[in-house]
Amino acid sequence: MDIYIKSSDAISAQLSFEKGLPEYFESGEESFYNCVKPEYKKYISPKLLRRMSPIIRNGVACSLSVLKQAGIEQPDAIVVGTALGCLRDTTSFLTQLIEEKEELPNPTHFIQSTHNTIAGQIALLLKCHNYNFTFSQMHNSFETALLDAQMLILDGKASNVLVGGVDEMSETTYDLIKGLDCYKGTKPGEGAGFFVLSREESVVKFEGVRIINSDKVDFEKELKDMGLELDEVDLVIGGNNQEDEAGYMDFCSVIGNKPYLWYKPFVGEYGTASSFAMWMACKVIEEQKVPECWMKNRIASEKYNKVLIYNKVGNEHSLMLMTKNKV
Amino acid sequence: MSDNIAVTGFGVICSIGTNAQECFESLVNKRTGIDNIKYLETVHKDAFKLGEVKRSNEELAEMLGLTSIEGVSRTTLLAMVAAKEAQELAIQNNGTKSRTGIVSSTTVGGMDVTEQNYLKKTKDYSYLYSHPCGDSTKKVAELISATDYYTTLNTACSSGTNALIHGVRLLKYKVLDRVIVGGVDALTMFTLNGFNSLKILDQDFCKPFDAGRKGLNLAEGAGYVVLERADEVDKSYCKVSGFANANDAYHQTASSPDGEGAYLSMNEALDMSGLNPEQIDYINVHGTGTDNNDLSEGTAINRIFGIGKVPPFSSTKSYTGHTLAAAAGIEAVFSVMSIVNNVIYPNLNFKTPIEGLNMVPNTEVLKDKAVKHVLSNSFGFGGNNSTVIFSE
Repeated sequence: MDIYIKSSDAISAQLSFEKGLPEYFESGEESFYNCVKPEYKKYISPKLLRRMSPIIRNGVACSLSVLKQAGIEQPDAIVVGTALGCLRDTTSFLTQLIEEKEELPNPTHFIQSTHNTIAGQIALLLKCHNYNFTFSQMHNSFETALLDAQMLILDGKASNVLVGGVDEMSETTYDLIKGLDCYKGTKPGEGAGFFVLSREESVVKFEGVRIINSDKVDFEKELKDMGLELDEVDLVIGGNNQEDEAGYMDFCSVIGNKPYLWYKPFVGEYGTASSFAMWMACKVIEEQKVPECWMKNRIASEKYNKVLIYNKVGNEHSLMLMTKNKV
Repeated sequence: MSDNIAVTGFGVICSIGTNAQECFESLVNKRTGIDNIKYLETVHKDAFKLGEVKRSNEELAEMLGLTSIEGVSRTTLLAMVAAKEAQELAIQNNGTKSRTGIVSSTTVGGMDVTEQNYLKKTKDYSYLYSHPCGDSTKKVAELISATDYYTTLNTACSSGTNALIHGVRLLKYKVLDRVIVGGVDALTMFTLNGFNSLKILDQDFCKPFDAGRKGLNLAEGAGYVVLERADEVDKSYCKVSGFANANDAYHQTASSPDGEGAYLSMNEALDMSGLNPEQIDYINVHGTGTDNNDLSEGTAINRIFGIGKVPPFSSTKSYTGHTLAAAAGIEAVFSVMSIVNNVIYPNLNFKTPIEGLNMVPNTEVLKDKAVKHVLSNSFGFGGNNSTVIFSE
């Protein structure tokens, strides 16, 4: 069965929401990236908005945008990936209970600290009784959500699945994590990337996602399993943070001289950052052009029909493949 | 889907035992694990009863043969004990498989480590590495060689069944040949104070499905079952015959009065199994003992089975307490053991039926009839409702 990406959107530190791939970057002088705030009121009532932390706002607004674009009122399933969940509410609740020595802290923060608050809120707003899952597997949170969405469609349980990745970064969190080894050489960030995965035909075809936990990856074999030869790839989007990131050497040597885009230096590193890469892939395939600012090398292509996304942290890798329908 | 997926192993640790056999003995001897607080650091030590696992972190590490528990959360240790038991049993039954993975679930992740360091204002923040939900799953996967695929669900207290649902599809679409599914949660100050702030904790023993119920007893533990494709195994305990997840879409934390989400999940799971409601021999209810859950779940059960026609049911949370993301995993193990041993467990602390429901939980250890089909419910915040049916 063929599966398509009917609509896509991303809220990020760049002007991505409800738009194409930006032609220039926002300055980004801060030590970590926060999202450019969309006009939330377009999607969420002011009363509800006041109660929502940024991660819920971004998750909900981005979801409602892709559903609107796809012309869908009720998805058959809602599947969300989040690496760290609702950190602001978690921090608020924890701080309050410790400072006030466990004297009845505010329940609202506790209620909203649960990882599935975002998917739950979307269901509540849509009055959607359907399948509702939230995955949290660090930097593979979005990938495992995506695989779940794909299997639901293959299983005939859903025709249209709302699937996305979302994480948040606050000043408090930044102060805690900035010294950690895993953020060395990176700028932490946040964002939301949502999609409607569908059986109905559209421009972008979703070919699959592979998750590999191993020191070594046989990239050619993995691609073959997804039904593609390495030579056929038109464009690569890599999760590199720096120019010469050692962990990406293996992949880059296998991939050779292909047009290569990167994004983490401009939206930041976060657990579900690969959802932003998937949004980029959709936009490039739809528009058949790449703004220069996203290019890691200066190699261009005449066509962008087959786009490969690679992400890696430690010995955990993921590959996602998107192609242009009917070329 | 029915008949394709077999349960080939199980493992559990909770307040009533550190392995499946110990837990089973407690269940059939009506021994609760809920007690005064001994291990958790909290100012509420004398105020609440909890379902604590009666082992310190050091003792858990010793059970596992670990020499260091630096940076290892209690959540991870509990998951390791139960997942290892489950995996060893599956290997004993059917040997090793080429692709093995784990789908776990947790609501708090490494919060037990985080909150203690936060409290002590530890300046070396490397303790945060154990905080994400996915960290415990990764460590367990590495311990039991289940790294071909691992992920973690967090849909609050329905998580464990959702892990099972994802796991079944991983087998069906040949991502894996064997998958360990379930959940874990350790007790934390965070959750104790959270549930206390919602005012849904009973300071005495919880009384699921009793008119005088006052709330839940918070607890900890881990439970996993091992799933494989039925046509590829020599020995198995039962099949996964049906499952479903539905959303109540009513309120972030409360259940709807008509139990719509619960009704939908039970209905769809029954539909998938091809079973009639009359064929269900035992319902392991979610039954937290809160006013809201039991009334809503009871209403939904009546809608499915018909008033007065509900099969024997009980909440084993009256033994274990509510273990959050571990609940569905632990109760999956109890459901499997119910089928294997033809035993229906009692519901402790029950006296008076809830007005209007016309439902009386089973209060005795029933051993006199065959248990072929068990339905297990697990519901959570975010309106998340899940049901699984295990069949002989």
